[in-house]
Amino acid sequence: MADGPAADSEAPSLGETTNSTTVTAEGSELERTIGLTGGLTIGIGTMIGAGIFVFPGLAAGNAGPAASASFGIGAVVALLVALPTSELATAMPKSGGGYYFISRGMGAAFGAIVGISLWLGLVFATAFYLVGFGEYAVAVLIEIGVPAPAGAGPIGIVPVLGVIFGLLLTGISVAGTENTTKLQNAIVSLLLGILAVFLGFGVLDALGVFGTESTPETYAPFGIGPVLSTAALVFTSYLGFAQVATVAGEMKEPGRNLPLAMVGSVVVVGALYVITIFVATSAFPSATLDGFGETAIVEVARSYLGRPGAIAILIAGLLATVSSANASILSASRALYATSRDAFVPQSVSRVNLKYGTPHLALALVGGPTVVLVGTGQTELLAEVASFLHLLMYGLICITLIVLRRRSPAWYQPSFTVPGYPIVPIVGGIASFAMIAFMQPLSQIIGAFVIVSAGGWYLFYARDVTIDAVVNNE
Amino acid sequence: MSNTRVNVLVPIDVLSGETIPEPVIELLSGMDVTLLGYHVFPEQTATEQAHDQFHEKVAAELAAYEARFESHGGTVQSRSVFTHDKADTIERVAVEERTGTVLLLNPAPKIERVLVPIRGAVNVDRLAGVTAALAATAGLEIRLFHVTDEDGVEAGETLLADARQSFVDAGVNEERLTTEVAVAEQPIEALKSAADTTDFVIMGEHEPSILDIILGEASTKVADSSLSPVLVVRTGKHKNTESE
Repeated sequence: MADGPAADSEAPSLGETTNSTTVTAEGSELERTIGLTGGLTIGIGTMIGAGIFVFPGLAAGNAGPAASASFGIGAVVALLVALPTSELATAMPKSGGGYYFISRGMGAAFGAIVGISLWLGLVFATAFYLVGFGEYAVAVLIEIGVPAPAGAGPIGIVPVLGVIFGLLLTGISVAGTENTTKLQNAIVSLLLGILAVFLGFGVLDALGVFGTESTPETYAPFGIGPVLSTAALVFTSYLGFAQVATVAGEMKEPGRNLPLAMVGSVVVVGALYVITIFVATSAFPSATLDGFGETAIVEVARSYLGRPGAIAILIAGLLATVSSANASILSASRALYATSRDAFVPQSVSRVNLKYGTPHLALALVGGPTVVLVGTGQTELLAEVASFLHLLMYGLICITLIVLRRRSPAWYQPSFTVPGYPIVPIVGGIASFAMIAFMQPLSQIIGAFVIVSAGGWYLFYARDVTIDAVVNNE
Repeated sequence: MSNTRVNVLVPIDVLSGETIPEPVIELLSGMDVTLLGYHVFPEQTATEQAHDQFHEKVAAELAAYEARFESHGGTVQSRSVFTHDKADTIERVAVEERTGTVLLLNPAPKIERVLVPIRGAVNVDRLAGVTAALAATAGLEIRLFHVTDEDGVEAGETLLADARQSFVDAGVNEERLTTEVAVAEQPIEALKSAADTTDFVIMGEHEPSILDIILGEASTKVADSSLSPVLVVRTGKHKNTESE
C-alpha cells in the first residue's frame, strides 16, 4: 500500500494527525499500525462468530425461511449506523469509538452512561460468543466420539467449557502476547475460505444445479412480527463494525481506512449471513433447524458435504466464536480505558502493567464478569442484552452526528461525510431504538437496569466530571 | 565527502531499561543525533493509554540523554513514539528525519576496534564516509572484512583492496586500517565470530532492507552475539515500507 501524500515524509508537528502517526499535545507520537486489512479483520472477526455459527437454527425456528430477511434488516440497520459512525470516527480518530463521539458531542451524562453500558454490552457479547464456543466444543467432542462425562449432560458442559476458555483468553490478553493480529488475520481468512466453499456449494445445490430443486417452504410461516423480533435477536451478529472505531487512534490513513473497514465489514458479513440462512433453510425445514440448536449449521454442512464438511464447519465454529470473543475483550478494555481517562471510573482501572505492557485490571474487569455470565449459558438472553446496550449507543451515535453537524464546532472536520444526510442518521437512529422495542421483555428489563445503574453511577461518582475538549487541533 | 556531517538515528527502548553506553555517546558527538525513545505495547493496550501513563517518564529519560550528548559537544534532538510495531516506527522516523544511519544499541565498555563487513562494491563509498566521520574524532582501528566461499577469495581480495582505497580517500587513517577475507560456509557465523573480537560494527543496508538488518533473524544474530553496537548505514533510496 502506497503511503499518502509527500507531506507524509516530513516530521509531523505538535498536535498533528498524519496518516501514520498522531503527535500528542505533550510532543510524543502515537504510531498508527493497523491497516485496512487489520480494520476489516477486527470488524469481520468480531461479527462472524454469531450470525453463521450460532443463530441460524434459532432464527429459522423463530421466523422460518424469512429469517434471511431478519438478517437483511439487521444489515440495513447496521449500515445506517456504520455510515454516521464512519463520519464521526474520521473527525475524531481516537481510542474509545462510540463512547468518545457521544461524550464529546452530547456531554458528560450521556458519555458516562454510554461508556459504562458499552463496557457491559461487550461483556454480554463476549459471554454470548463463549457460550457459542462451548456449544461447538461439545459438538466436537461428540463428533470425535468422546462420551459425555457421567452425571453431567451436554447442557452442563457447555458453560463449563465456555468459562474455561474465557479465563484462558483473559489470561492470554493480560500476558500481552504478540502477533495476535497476525493470528486473527489468518483465522478470519481461513474462515472466509471455508465459508466460501460451503456456501458456494450450498447455493448451487439449493438452486437445483446438483439435482432436484429443494421444495420451498412458506417464506414467512409465522408472519411479519417474528421476522422483526428475530431481527432484534440476531442483531448481535452485527455488533462489531463499531469496534473498528475503538481502535481509530491506531489506524493508518484513518480518513480512508475507517469508513472502508466499517462499511466493508458490514457488507461482507451481511451478505454471508443472508446466504447462510438461504442455504440452511433450503437444506432443512425450519423446525428441524430449530431442533439442531446453536450448531445447526454443522448439520447443514453435513447434508451437503458429508462428514468432512461437518468437521470443517465445526472447526470454523470454534475459530469464529473464539475470534469474536477475543476481539470483544480487547474492545471492552479500550472502552474502559476511554471512560477512565475522562475519570468516569477510577483512573487506576486502566493502569498499564509495564512488565506485560497490558492494562491487567481493565482486562480482568472484562474477563471476570464475562465468565460469570457465561455460567448462565443463556444464549438468547446474553445476545439480546448485548444488542440492547449497543443499540442504545448506535442510536445516540446517530443523534450525535446530527447535533455536531448543526453545532458545527471548529474542530469538527470529518474527511468522510455521510451520504444522504440527514435521512441516513435519522432513520439509523430510529431503527436502532426500534430494534430494542422488538426484544423479549426480560432482555429489555436487564438492559434498562444496566442503563439506570450506569446513570446512578454517574450521579453518585462522576457528577462533577467535565470532559476535555476534542484534542485534534490543540 | 569526508567532512560531510552524518546523521544517526538511535532508537532506544527506555522503558525496558535500554541504555546508551558512555563510549557510544562520545563516539557520536561529531554526528547529528536523533534519539528515538520508543516502547512497543501489545495490541491489548491503546497507544494513547500507554502514552498517558508513561510519556513523562520517557521524556525525562530522553532529556537526560540529550544533556549527556550535549556535554560531549554533540548535536541532538529527540522524539518519543508509542507503538505496536517497532519496524514501522523506526522506518518512518528514519525516512522523516532523512537519517543516513541507524544505531542498534548494545553494551560497549570501550570502543577501539571497529569491524566493517563489506559485502560488495555497491555501498562502499557511503560506508567509507560514515567510518571516516566517526574515526575523525577517535583513534579507531578499522577492520574491513569480507566473507566468501573458496572460489571467491581472489575476488574478495580485490574488493577489499578497492574498498581500502575508498576508505583512505574518505579520510580514514591508513595505518589503522586492516583488511581480512574470511572463507566460510556460513557467512553469518563468520561475521559473528569476527564481531566477537571488536567493539563496534558498521555495516551497510543490503538486499534485506534495514528492517531485516534491525529485526530480521540473520542480523539479530549478529547484533545479539557480537554484543557490540551496530551502526547500520542506509542505502540512498528511501523506500517506503509496505507493512500492512
